[in-house]
Amino acid sequence: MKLFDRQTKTILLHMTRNFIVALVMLFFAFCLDVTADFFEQNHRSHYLVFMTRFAAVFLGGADLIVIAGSVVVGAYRIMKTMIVQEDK
Amino acid sequence: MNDEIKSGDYRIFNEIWLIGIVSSLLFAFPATYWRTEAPWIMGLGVTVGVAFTLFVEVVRSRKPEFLIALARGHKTWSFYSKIIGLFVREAQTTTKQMELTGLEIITQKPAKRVIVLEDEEHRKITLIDFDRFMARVTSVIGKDLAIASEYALRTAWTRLKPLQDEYPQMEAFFRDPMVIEQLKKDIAANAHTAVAKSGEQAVRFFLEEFAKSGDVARYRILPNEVAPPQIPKRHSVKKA
Repeated sequence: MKLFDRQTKTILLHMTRNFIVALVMLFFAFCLDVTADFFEQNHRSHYLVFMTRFAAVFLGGADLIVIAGSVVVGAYRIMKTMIVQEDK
Repeated sequence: MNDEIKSGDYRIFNEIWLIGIVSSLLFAFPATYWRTEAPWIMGLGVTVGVAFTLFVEVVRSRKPEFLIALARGHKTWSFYSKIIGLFVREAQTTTKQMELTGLEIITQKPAKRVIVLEDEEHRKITLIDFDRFMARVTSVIGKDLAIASEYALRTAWTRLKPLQDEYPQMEAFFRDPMVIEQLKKDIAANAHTAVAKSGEQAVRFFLEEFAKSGDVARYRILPNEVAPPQIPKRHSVKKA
């Protein structure tokens, strides 16, 4: 039994690839945030704390956009595929 | 039909990274600066990025694309300084009569290797068998022809869509995968024949043209170990 057709499988493959890469980078963003907290608690320079946190927010934000965007675009495409198959 | 055609386009899954980086770069500074006062700023950035991605996807799925997309990534030979040529060998035919068909057997086989000639200045000239070249062209062009056929069908459907109410069976025709595949195969087969014939005609044209003009550069085939004799660079063919 075929669970997914070729097109859906390709969409899921692209989504999974984006997920894995984005999750790894999200972990790095989390590490940067922890580092920024560490710097803050140890009273390091305000500039260093700000830049570390900026890097964490930037990286985390980009990864969240990739994850959420992949889900939205993938769902949109799979929905369109299902509509076309129903029409056939 | 649009969904059939666009099924092979997965660029958005790569472009989403660029959208994410740009959106995040725009919102990361205020989100960091007002981290405690306005923690929702990065949420707004994520929402904007996702909305823009969806906008690109929807707009692209509705916009018809034309053949211009095929030219993407095309490079010319202008950077190449060596000489590469095609060679055509005249077919050797047997005069023996065949048992059933009575046709002549063409014993000519396409050369599998390329031929490398060397001129008097030791410059190499690479020659490729014309039949093998045309066979390769027709096999390579197949993929682009499939894309071109799909674009043509998509364009036809976009143009004929206003008549959908008048001819309701038209949509079923365009959506039928058997019809689409058959059209693609027909176009590909005809295009292959056209390419092969055109290639042969082009070669004949050049041969006749050069024979008429007489402006021919002659090279002598030399084995590598033999020192090249002194040959004048250009000869002109005397007309009979």
